[in-house]
Amino acid sequence: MNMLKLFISIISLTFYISAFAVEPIQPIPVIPYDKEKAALGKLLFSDVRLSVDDTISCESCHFLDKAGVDHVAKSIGVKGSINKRNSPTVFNSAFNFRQQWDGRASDLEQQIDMAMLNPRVMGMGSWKAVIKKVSSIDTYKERFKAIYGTEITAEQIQETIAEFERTLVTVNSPFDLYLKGDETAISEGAKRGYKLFKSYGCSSCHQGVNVGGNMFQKFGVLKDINLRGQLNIDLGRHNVTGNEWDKRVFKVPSLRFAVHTAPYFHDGSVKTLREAIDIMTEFQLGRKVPDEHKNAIMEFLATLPGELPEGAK
Amino acid sequence: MKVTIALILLLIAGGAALGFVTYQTNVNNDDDTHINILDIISEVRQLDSTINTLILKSRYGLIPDYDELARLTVNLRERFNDLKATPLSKYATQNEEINTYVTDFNEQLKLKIDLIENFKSHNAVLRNSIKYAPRLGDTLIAQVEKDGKQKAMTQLKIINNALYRWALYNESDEARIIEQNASSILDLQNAVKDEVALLEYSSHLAAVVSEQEQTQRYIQSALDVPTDTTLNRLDSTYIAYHLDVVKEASKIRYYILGYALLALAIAIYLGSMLKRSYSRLEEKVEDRTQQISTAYEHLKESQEQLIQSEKMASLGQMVAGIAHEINTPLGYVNNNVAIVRDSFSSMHDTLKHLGVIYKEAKQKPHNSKKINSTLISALKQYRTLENDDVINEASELLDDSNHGLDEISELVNNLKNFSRLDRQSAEYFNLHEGINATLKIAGSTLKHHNVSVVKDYHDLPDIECIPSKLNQVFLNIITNAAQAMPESGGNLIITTELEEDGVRIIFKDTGEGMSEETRNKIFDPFYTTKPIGEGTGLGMSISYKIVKSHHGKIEVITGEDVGAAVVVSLPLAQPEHNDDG
Repeated sequence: MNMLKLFISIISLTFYISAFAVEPIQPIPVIPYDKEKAALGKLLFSDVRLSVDDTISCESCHFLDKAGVDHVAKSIGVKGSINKRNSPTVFNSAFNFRQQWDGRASDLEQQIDMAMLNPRVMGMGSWKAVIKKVSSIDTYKERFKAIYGTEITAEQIQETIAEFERTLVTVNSPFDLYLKGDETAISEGAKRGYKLFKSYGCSSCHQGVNVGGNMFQKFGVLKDINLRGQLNIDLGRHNVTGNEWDKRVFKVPSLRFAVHTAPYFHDGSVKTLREAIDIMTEFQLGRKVPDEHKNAIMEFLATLPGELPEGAK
Repeated sequence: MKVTIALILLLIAGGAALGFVTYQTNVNNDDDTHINILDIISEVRQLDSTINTLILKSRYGLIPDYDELARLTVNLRERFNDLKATPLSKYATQNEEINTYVTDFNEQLKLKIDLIENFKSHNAVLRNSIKYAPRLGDTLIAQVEKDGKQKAMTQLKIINNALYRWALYNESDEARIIEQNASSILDLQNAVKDEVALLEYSSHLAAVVSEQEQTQRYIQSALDVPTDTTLNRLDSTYIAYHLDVVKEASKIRYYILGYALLALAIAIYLGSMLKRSYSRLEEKVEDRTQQISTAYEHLKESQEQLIQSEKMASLGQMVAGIAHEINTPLGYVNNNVAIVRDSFSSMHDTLKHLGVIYKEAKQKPHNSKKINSTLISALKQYRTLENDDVINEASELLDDSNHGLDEISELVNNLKNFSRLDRQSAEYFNLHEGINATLKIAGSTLKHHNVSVVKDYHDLPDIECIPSKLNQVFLNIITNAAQAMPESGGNLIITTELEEDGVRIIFKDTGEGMSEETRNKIFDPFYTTKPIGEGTGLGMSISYKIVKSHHGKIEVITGEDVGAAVVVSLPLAQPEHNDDG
């Protein structure tokens, strides 16, 4: 029995070690996309006529020249209404395993569906209304016809916008180049920051291609978030599933554009990245992290954004 | 006929029933679709199993991130949703079992994914704490060892060793040790200088215990969700049901075959019926054709006879008229000749005296007394003749006879003109001549009916026609007009006019006129107003034909009691190619 245990432990250890040889963060790949659809999606993305009072487009909250966000705690929707949560960046959103802070949208198409009908966002009320409005614009009518050859449908509008969003991936970041073997791509400080990022356990959740966005996590897993106030108000995924455990569970956000997308967290209540790191280490890691280490981690985070894609220019 | 309709109704009913059954069974049994469904189910099972492997690997930290797991989870759901686009979704509405398994799998998948998400979250925390806590423990142990806190060191070591072992073997014994000691760890505050580190150690220990338990629970629950069993059942139920459907479909194929055979049989039957009735029809048609041609022959014969009798009637009428016309002069010529012959004997006696005188005068000597007495007697006789006006009378009578013979000669000439038997082809002909000749021929009829003829002739050129035919037309019209006159007689006004492209002859009478019915039917063959046996009813019909064949027009303008006008219009010349139509 002991022999077997030993054997298993050796095997496990071997795997454990070999597993560590693989980095928890992977370079951003290029996603193939349909050029025609994406080009049409870009037009729709910045067209305010897609909202009920012709004031809001997708870009109203996801500025393509401002890292895909609007830099306010909570975005303004149609008729001056205020959104419930902070707008995350549209860049690299295609890599998220689900969309929305509480993950209630399974993909980009569904997120677009929700935004279009949400009275606090585009406020269109129904897809019938969206289709009617889009169809009344000759350019769209012709281009949809050219691509799909049918009357415009809700699925087509969702697909074209999503297709455009799938082009908004930022390849060749300094850190990705480093991962691919270019030792000079990032500074020594950043390299140290990456090591600390892993050893403190940040990468347990902020991991994968998008440095986040592939799992849910509970806010305040090692220290009660109620101690921080305000951040405890939103019950997150609990609103979707009703499960007790899901209280204050949110999708782990991507850190790819973290350095450019202040303010932070689901309610946009934290103004600086440094403050956000403070809260994360205290409530999620349950550890005291020296300032010097935090600075190094920030230096690492700054190497994550890649080149702006063609569609964002 | 009834049988045919019944058979066709049977075909329609059979087709409808078959269509309904086919629609009901929703046969979609093509192999590609079937294989596609099996492929999807198999792929879903594969993905499910890969996900199980991945969560186990994640549990032991063997994979660096959740990207693949997250991707496969999405794939699994999408792939299963692909089944909605296949006939399986239709089967689900028909088969309770399939419906149950599809619904079950959907719910199980949702539950499993939720459990996996929870596992991922807890596992991430656990991995952090389990990595960090023992190292923190080592630091604390080193610290209390340096400070010589033996008791605290022992306690910390027990916990930390249990932590290490648990990290490796994951046995509940170790978990219990950690759990038992974790609560009392804060009691070591007096022994441990670094209070913050001790607090951290305590919270991580708590995390390890609770997260380990949760992680284990979620992974076990996730693996326990019987997605695989459900999928296997769905698979086998689907295959069984599909087989049934295929069987049903092949049954329907037999139905269709049966229906096709039935349809063929009925078609053959109907075809033979049709053929039979066709040949029967052909026979009938032949019969009828025979009958019709016989009837036609008869008709033609009788028409010819009728035309002949019409001709004979006309001829008879004409002959009667002519006989009358000839009879009158012939009568008085006869009388005259008789009278002249009578007077001729007395003239002969007188002339005889001349012979006696001549004989006496030749003798020598002359018997003067005899000559004288004979001469006186001859003179006496001559005086008697002269006194009786016999010679003058004879001369007058001969003149009169001469006149009568002239009249007969003219009549014969007119007759010749009328019939123009010598000229049957078209020629240029003076219509006035023709009308006049006809009037002569019809003279007796006209006289008989007290008709006065008024000629209102205008200058006409000769027109191209067959004169005898046109004369026949004129005679018909004139005879009809005469017969239409009341007893007291009336007028027949004949007007000839030159028109733009032809001539027009109007025969207007002051007769009884005719009714609307007569006017409408006047040109119909066999229509007559005369008593049976007197008219053939062909006169006007033949006239109509003759005028038509001259490319002319004949019409009647009339009303009752206003007389009638027959208008004949004729072209100046006939078209070059006379089709006689």
